[in-house]
Amino acid sequence: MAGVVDPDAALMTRVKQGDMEAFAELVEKYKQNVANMIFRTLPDATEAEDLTQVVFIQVWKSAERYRVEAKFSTWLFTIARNLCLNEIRRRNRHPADSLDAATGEREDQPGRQFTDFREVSPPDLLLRNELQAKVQEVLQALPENQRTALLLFKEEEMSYEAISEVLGCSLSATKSLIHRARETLKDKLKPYLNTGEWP
Amino acid sequence: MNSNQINTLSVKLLRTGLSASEQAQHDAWLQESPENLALWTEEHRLNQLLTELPIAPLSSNFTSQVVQQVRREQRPVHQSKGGGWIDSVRRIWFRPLAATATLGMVAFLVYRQQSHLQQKALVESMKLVSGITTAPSIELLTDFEAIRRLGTPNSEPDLTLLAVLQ
Repeated sequence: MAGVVDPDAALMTRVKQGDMEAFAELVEKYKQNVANMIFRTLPDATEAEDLTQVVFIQVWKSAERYRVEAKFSTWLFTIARNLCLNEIRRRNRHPADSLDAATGEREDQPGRQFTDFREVSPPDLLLRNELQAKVQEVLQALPENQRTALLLFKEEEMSYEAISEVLGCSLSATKSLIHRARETLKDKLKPYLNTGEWP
Repeated sequence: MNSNQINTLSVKLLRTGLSASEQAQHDAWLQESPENLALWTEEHRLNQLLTELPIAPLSSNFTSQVVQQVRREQRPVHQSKGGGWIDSVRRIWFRPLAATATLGMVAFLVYRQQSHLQQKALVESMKLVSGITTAPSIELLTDFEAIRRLGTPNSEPDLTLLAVLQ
């Protein structure tokens, strides 16, 4: 489609020239998506936010290497995934450094955000939170490439092609990863999925 | 509906939900084979769970924090860019310049030493020459005719002059 310019690519062209406004626009647009993806991998709110910040700083630093013909979101999530992988490797090397004790929420930031369940009764809310925690746990236990493939597919609505680019694997392998992730989730969450209630 | 079509619908459900025609197709399929209802309900519940995952909390000033951080990290780079030519002269040219300067200094000293030695030798040879050649006597220098003859090239020896000189 000649003449159609990806607005993100146009913004990145400006970022390459040092335009801070264009950069801020991109951060604003993608911060939540990137943070969600990281949060599903490292479910500590503070660490997820810090790593999200690192992702965008890396975007600024690597702007020179961005090719306009590439889709920005694909490039962005490749950076996010690589940084997540580095963090996972670092944690595996130095398990004591992990900041998993998620008590360190900073004073200047809002607390963990959950879906607004004000209309749900407290016991139901409790159950729902428990269920969410369980899903989060199962999601985290998935192999990294399965989890990333599923999240990019479900939450970012990326095409199989774009996901395969982020993961650096073939199209069929990407489809297979998503399928296996779904099957694992169904298997681990079977008690709830069968009855609609967590035992 | 074959397993491929079911899978396609499951994937669509996972992401965007079903269109009206897909929903109709799906309902018809369930009516034909109600044993698949449990399977489909599983899919539906899984999709629901993934949709309801909590969003990551972010500071309200997240974007400005990132921009500030980038500016902070950028500053030293810009500073070094500002004084870049001084840095590059220091880093790239310092050694060659120092080597050239040293070489120049050595060459100058050698040259000075050489010329000093040459001058010394010249003085020595002049001293030698001055010892051999004696200046004409005062009487000769007052004799105009003799002086005139001294400057005149003549193939024949001037016996008178020679006699006077002796």
